[in-house]
This record gives sequence, C-alpha cells and structure tokens, in this order.
Amino acid sequence: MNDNDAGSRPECGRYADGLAELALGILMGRERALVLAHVEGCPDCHAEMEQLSLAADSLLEMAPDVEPPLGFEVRLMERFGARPAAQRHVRRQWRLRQPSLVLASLLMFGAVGAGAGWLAWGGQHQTVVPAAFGTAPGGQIETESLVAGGRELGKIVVYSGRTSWLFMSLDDGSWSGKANCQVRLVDGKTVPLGTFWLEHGYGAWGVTLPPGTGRIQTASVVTDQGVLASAHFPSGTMTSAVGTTTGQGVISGPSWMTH
Amino acid sequence: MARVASLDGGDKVLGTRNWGKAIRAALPAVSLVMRRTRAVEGGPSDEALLASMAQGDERAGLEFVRRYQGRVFGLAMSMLGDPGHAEDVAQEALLRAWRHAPIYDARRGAVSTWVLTIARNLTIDALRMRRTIPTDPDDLIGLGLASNEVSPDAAAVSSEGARGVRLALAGLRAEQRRALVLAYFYGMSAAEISEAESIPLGTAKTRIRAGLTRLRETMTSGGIER
Repeated sequence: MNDNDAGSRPECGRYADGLAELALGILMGRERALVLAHVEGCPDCHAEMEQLSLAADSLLEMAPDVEPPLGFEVRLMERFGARPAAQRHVRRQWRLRQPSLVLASLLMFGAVGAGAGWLAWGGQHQTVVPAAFGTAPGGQIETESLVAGGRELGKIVVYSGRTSWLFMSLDDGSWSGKANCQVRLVDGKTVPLGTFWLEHGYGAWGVTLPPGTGRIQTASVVTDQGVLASAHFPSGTMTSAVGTTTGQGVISGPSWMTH
Repeated sequence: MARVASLDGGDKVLGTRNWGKAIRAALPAVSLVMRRTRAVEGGPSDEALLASMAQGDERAGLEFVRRYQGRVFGLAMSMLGDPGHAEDVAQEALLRAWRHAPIYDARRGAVSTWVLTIARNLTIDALRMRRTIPTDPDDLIGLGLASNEVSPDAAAVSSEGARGVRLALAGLRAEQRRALVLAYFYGMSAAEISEAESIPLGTAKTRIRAGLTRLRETMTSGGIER
C-alpha cells in the first residue's frame, strides 16, 4: 500500500485523499458520504482509515499541560450545578490553595523581601503579604503535617534564614472562631506565636520569627476548646539558622492571614 | 545545608547549591496548587472515574476534572491564544465530558483522546466563530514544545508521547506539517487550506494525505525518517 493507493481494489486509489481527510475530521457533505460508503465495503480501506485516525489523534499528545486560572474548578462546578456539598469541597480545596499559591510563589522566586503586595481574595478579603515572607540561599525549609486524631488537617512550613517565618494552612472542616498558634521548643518552653481566625474550618496564617528562638519541636493550633491540631518536628526545626537579624528574641512578627 | 522534612517521614539533607531542589521537594507538601492533574499512582483509572461519574458521583467528576483540566486548558490556550476564551472552551469541554460520561465507549479509544477531541472540536467551533487563526500553525507546534507555563513534572509526564509525535512531525516536510496542523487543529478543509496557503486544491489534498500517511508510517515503525 502506498500514498496513492489506500486499498487493494481498483477503485481504492480514488479514495486515498478522502481517507486522510476523513481521518482528520475535515471531510464534509457528499464527499464524506462517498468515502464512508466505500470504507464500509472495503476492509483494506477501513483498516487504513483506522490507522490514519490513530495517527491523527496522536497529534493531541502535543497538548501542553497548562495550569488553568485560579478559580477554574469553582466556576466549573457552578456551571455544572453540582450539589452544595461538592461545591463546598471545591471551595475548601481552593481556599487551601490560595495561601499555598502565595507561599509557593515566594519560594519559587526565593528573594528575601519578596515584596509586599496586596492579594485580593474572594472579592471580599484582602490580605497583605509581608515582605519578610521570602527565602534566600542557605536557608532551611521544613514542612510537616498538622494532624489531629491521626487525620491530616493541614500543613505547616517553617523557614529559617535571615528572616525566619512560619506559615500554616488548615482545614478541619468545622471550627469557626479564634485560634491560637503556639510552639513548644526543644528546651520545653512554650511560646505563643499569635492569633488567627478560622471560618468553617478554613484558614491560613503566617508570622515572621525573630532569631534566637531556638528549635521548634511542636507547633499547635489551640482553640478555647483545646488543641485543634499539631505538628511534630522530629529533629527540632531551627528558626535562626543563617545570618543576623534585629529580632528581640520574642516571637511577635507581622502576620498574614486568610480564611 | 537545606533540610526538608518530607511527608514520607524522612528528612532530606541537601546542599545549598541544591536549594531549588529543596524548594521543589517542599512544594508538593505545602501546596495543592502545584499538584498536577495526572492520575496518582494507585488511583482510580480514567474509565473507573467515568463509570462513577455516570452514576452521579460528583467527587469522581471533580477528580476527573483535576486530572484533565491542565491538558484541556493547554490545548485550548495553544489554539486560541487567549486565556479567557480558552477557559470558556476548556470548561465547556469538561462539562460535556462529565455529562456524556454514561455514553463513553472504551472500545472507541482512550479517555484522554476522547476528552481532548471534545476540547479540540469546541475550540475549532470557537475559532470558526471568530473567523481568525490567532496562532500560526508553526507556533502552535512550538507551543507544545516549549510552553513556559508547563511545569517540569508535567513536562516529564507528558513528554514520552509528545516527544514521539513531535519527532514524527519534524520528519515531515514543512508544508505537509502545516497542512496537517491547519486541518487537525483548526478544522480547515482542503479547500480552505488551499485558499489560506494560496495553493491549488489538488496540492492541498496531496499535502494532507502525504503528511498524514507519513506520520502514520513513522509512528507505526517507531522510527524517525527525514
């Protein structure tokens, strides 16, 4: 079989162009009907067309994988008319992504003082990203899960560098109200870091950490009903590993919150 | 030294020169947004997801969307060149796939081909409504090759199949390659290609046929011919 003769029958050559166009989906009208009729009765051309269709569809492999715009899933679920529970699940996931996106961006660009900026979120909330939430070569990042009862409720990241910081995102799915973040150091000392708010269990929060704090062994999120979730750093994470800063030894830096 | 407490419980110690590596290692743990839309190992197959979607399982639908939204959006974006328009098309494609999950027939091809074909057809419809070709065919091929929005892990996942196709395309004559792209990605008929390229209709048909036949031969043999 060659380019000019798709099948073995004498008339097959007349359909060679049509087979390719049919496989590419660009054959219309009477031409399409004629080629289809021939393919129906010619096993060779039928097989040829299937092979050509596979080759044509292989072009889809070139489709690049591009991250859709933020909120894509939320808008999609709304268009689909998904039940509230499913939409809530998407929103929860989406909300968790927002602080993570900010953090990821800061990590990716990795410059100390990555630049303060306003992040509009949800059309209602505006949160400021402190300039200190950046990273620099030589710093350390440690990531742990915030867990409760064996269930992972969020993530916590501690960056130790010229300006150290702690960032967490949490989703326990229920609690609304004030939550406190505190850490227990390797030397046994417990230090409160600050307060933030959870809305229906969602929240993300960060704080800059002055140097000299020591190693963090456990970080906890505490409400007036007790410990909501905690993360354990097996080897004790450093909070002032590199360089010198002007911290006062008491953890109370600018904080960043969204929920 | 950068130390990364990984989710698998083991600390990883990395030199400062590997800072980028440390960040990339930390990101998956802290950022859902960096998670790509591929099937996770041990997760349900595409077919299983579609079967669950057909039963009204919205969580399965959401997983399906997350698995394919990147490629569907990427395809539309490559062809349209406009993020807003591409999102509309990508959403419509995924919605149709979701709604038509009950009639998906595995014997007719892979799920990925099915979904991306829906997206391609919708994008062609959108292009026809706009009556323009915003992306030059040669650029379209280039987009798939070197989109700067493609994450390294996604590129790694998709590179195997894509690399073979691109190499096969590279083995075609330039005019054959253009004809194929215009036909497949822009839905242009032989007559429309003839007009767009200012060539006789017979020449356009020959380019289409010769290009596709050679692509098939190259893909089938697994070899690259020049």
